[in-house]
Amino acid sequence: MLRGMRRGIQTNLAWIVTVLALLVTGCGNADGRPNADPTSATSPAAVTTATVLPTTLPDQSVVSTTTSTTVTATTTTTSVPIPLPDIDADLDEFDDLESLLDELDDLLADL
Amino acid sequence: MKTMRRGIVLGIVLALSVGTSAVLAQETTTDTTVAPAEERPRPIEELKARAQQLIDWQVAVINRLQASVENSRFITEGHAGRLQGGLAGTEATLEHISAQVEDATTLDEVWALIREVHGLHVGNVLAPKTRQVIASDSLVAIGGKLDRFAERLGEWLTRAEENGYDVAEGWALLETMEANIASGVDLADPVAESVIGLDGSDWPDPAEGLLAAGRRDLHAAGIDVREAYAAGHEIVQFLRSLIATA
Repeated sequence: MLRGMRRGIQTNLAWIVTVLALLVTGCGNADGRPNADPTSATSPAAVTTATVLPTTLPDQSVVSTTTSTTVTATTTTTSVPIPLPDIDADLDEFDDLESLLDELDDLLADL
Repeated sequence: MKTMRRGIVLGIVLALSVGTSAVLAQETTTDTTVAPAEERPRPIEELKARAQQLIDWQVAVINRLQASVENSRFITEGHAGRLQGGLAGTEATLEHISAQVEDATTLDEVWALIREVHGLHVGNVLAPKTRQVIASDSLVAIGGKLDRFAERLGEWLTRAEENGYDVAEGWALLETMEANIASGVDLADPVAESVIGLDGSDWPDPAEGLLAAGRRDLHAAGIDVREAYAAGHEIVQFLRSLIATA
């Protein structure tokens, strides 16, 4: 009976640690940003290892349980490029090139 | 009695014919005296007038060239100064010749002055060299602006590439644009210096050859610069299409 209770406690502890590990991993993205920069290469998998300290009783040998949780970050490498701003506003100062070339044509016609 | 009557009739006929002749003669005389006698100018005055007309025409050409230099947006200060100096000098020479024509007393003197006017070669040397210097400086200046345009387009292509676009076509166009700018400026730049020192005494050699070469190079440079602009325009269209499809 006591043995069964211990095993139950150990199993519950293992689950709690697993859930905590998952929560800790999730907190990295808690600010709502996307998981990864779409232009960056695939991020390495995040590995979290939790070790459950043994629960020892005086008349028992030490039992240690290690639970490993591997969380792979989902990376989206998108083929849609980042939009560019309006080009025309930046090229305003070159708007007169066409009329300058027309003037030049007149000069060359008079040679 | 019969003889007397014949005498009277003859007298009347004579009197009538003499009167009519007198009236006719008077009318004829009036006609002759009213018509003014036309005076032909002396040949030297005619030649002087033609010489002055020629000088006026040359001065008008020089004044138009002076205005072209003054109104040019791209001519360098140094070139403008040298051209204006030369044009003012030629105008002063023409005014001096004009005064000599006024004072000339023989046909030979006037002919010699007319030959002096032709010897300035305003139409053969001064006009084409002035236009070539202006065109050369303008091509270099517009080439410089196209260079800045190409630089800006390069920045846009880099930015688009960094943002994940395929811009290989844009880079190829930019290469064509830059090559055309360089070729146009290389052709146009030396023309100004090669012709600016020419004057009438250089006609026909070396002025004729130098001006022909300058005209050829400037026309070729004009084509290069036009093609450079066309390539730049294509790059802008290409970038616009990238922005539209994003």
